[in-house]
Amino acid sequence: MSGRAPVVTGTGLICSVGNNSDAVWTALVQGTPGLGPLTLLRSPRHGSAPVGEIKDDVDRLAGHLRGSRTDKLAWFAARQALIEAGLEARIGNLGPRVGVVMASTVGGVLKTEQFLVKLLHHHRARYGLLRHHECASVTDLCAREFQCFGPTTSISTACSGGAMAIAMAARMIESGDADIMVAGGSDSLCKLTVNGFGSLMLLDPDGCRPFDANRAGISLGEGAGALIIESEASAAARGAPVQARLSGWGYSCDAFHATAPEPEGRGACQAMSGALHCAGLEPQAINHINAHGTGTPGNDLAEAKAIQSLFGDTVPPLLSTKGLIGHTLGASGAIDAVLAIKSLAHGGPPPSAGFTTPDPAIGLVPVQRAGTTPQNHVLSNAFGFGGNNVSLVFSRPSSGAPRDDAPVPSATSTARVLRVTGIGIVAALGHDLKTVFARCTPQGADSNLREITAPLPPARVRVYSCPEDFGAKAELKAGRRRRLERVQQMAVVAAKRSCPESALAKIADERICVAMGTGLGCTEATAKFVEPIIEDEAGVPSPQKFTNAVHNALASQVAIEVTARGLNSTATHRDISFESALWHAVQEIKTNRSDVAFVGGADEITPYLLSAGSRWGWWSEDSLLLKPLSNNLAAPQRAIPGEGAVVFCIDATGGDTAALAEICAVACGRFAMDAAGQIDSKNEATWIESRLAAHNIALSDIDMIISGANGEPVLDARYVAVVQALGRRSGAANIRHGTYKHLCGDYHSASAFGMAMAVGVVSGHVSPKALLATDGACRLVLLYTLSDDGTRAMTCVRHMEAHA
Amino acid sequence: MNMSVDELIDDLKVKIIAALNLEDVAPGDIDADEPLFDDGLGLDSIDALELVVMLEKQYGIVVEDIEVTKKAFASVRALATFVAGNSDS
Repeated sequence: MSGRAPVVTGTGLICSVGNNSDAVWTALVQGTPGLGPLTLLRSPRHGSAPVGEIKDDVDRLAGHLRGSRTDKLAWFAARQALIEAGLEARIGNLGPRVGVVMASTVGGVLKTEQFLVKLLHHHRARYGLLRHHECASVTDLCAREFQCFGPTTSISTACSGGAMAIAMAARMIESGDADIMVAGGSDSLCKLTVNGFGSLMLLDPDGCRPFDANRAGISLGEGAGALIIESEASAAARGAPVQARLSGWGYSCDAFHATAPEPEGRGACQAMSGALHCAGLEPQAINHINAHGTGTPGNDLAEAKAIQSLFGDTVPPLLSTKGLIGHTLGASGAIDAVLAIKSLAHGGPPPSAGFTTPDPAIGLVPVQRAGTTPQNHVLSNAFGFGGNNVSLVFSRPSSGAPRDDAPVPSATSTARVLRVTGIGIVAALGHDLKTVFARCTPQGADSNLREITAPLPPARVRVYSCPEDFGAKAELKAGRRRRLERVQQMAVVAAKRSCPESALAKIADERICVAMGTGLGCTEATAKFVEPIIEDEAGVPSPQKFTNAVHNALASQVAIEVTARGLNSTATHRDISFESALWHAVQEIKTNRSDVAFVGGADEITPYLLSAGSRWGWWSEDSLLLKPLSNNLAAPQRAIPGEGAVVFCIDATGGDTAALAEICAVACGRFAMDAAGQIDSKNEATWIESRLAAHNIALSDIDMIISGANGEPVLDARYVAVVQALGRRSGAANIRHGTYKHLCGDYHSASAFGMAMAVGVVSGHVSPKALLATDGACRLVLLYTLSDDGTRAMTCVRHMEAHA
Repeated sequence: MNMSVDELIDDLKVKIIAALNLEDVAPGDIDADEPLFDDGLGLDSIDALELVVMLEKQYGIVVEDIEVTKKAFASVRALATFVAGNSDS
């Protein structure tokens, strides 16, 4: 290896039994009870089951910081990890080679619930409480406080999120996108999850008992876990002690059901064997398994079956930490990762709490006393709603070299061509690709520009909404449609139309991955679930809404639709959500773990979004149909909200399907501001040039830049500054600058529509004039996206025949 | 509210369709004796939980243990019998 192997140099942890890893380890070994009564919030309906609540004053731990409880827990754990890694002096100045990937399931929903209390009981709309609603807020707080400018994104794959973020960060190290990554997960208790799991009848009234014969459900917990993952070379150069090697990771998707695991544990087995293969290890090399072990009858049985099918008669010791600290949802994969790493130093696994009676159906007895055998390799599992499975292997630094047939990192692997073979699209312009391409004109999407009223405060808002009939009835059977929220239907229809079923006939399900970007996911389901219990404490919420409220319900429903059993990733980082998802899928293909990827973005207009956006001045009743990049930047202008779902089928097999275009580069990170308070456009030009150079593309090869300009003057001025800087750098003073939000409106994952336009331009289906740029042939197009939280992304799309 | 089992059957059909958003099913399409789950209406575990919610909202019957529903959800007739036997409280 070229020193790019990912190693762990720091860990951080907070949960109900302690606010550092030593305290939590001691509690695990001594069996200190971590579950108790819920005091953080009132929940008469499902609040009597014990929870793993953090008793420390979280606001005090986070000092001056503003954010949700989830944000603060993440920051606390991540800071601890940076200090443990010897990076304390660089906190606040970590720079361009350090990035952040955090996972969360609920984000700031605890504050969102306070917003709803004020709204529904006191008729006051305190929109400030929604500022930290999004999962991206968790990552954003860390990235801003630590001043990291490397790859920055957020993951939301329900209960596997923390492990997914760690695996994604490891890949960012291996690929060379970053030298150091802060990665982990965080979630706080809230009414949504207490009542959600309650409505699913999945809360054990006596506290959770993983793998026990009498197990009756989970106990909810809260907390955060974080790792500092670093390239071997970076750790060596800093002289930082290596705690563990992150020697392998594996993903899978059950593609089976919204919440229930596939009963035979096929997906779980695939994730574990994938992680072992990645690590170059045989099953017998694993010293113990830190199981997902939630304590529900179905999950534990499926996981046990998966373990037995992989390990046969010699199952290594296994444990679950959830009997002690509860299920911390998006944090659990990261907390378990920290504890798996600690077990390498402590010479054995900790005991598994909450177990008394063996279950003959499971046939496994978890660890009862702390082990004392040296640990070389530990497997840590995290499985989530939607059958979203991730397994990680951590190894003692001196535990030997991987076997010869382990996958080779992309730096030396044969380049695979990322062919875009199809696009499915649901947009204001229409819901099939031909129509949408044909309707792209400089005048914009007048046909679906509607005026609607935002409820609170009342405001007339113009929106680009998708047609009422966007193909859901034609594409989805009633029995399937009735279970899906509108935005899920949009995404599934787009996915279905991106690829004819026959094109997948020769591809194994396990070699097909799905990655979706969504800024807000299915916020409507969250609102509809929470409203009844806020309005009336005795209100009865809908379990179906809860299962749809997780952000990864989009990607897991796409996986069910196209039977994709490989990676199933969901990125939720504001305007770079789509590019983050694209990056993840591209890496799967480049490292030869997948052959086909379904990648897309989906977001919808909702009443709360319109109201909050109006209050925040994103758009307002004076908004007009504006041309982005108007010359008159001084005039008061606003963006027009939009919605849509776009899914790309990317096929690297070079099969029969003709390709529309090739994706040749994708990268994400955070931009810097200069001394004058403007975007540091020179630095942006340097970043873009260097990311293109990594793929042997020169700036002067770029025929056109497509930006996410939306008519809002501050944002548009930033785009103009960067495009001009790129023009100066490449020597083409009049580099063409196109935009697309006059066609689809403004929404978090709109850059997926932008990429459809890039593909349309290089394949000759869309005229650059439709994108408000001067006409002319385009063979290589750069899609550039800025997000108002300081993140940005670039994607390069090439005409297919131009590829040598 | 004192309905006979037959009246409850008609009432339940309408309420099941509404609770589960079965837009392509009419009350007359449901055979009171056919299984609700698996082969019958093709319902799943989340639908069962939605029916639990429906029982509480519409009939004031609180189901604490999902095991209870296994028998009650066998068919619309079984459910009507269950409701008739539990709704006096």
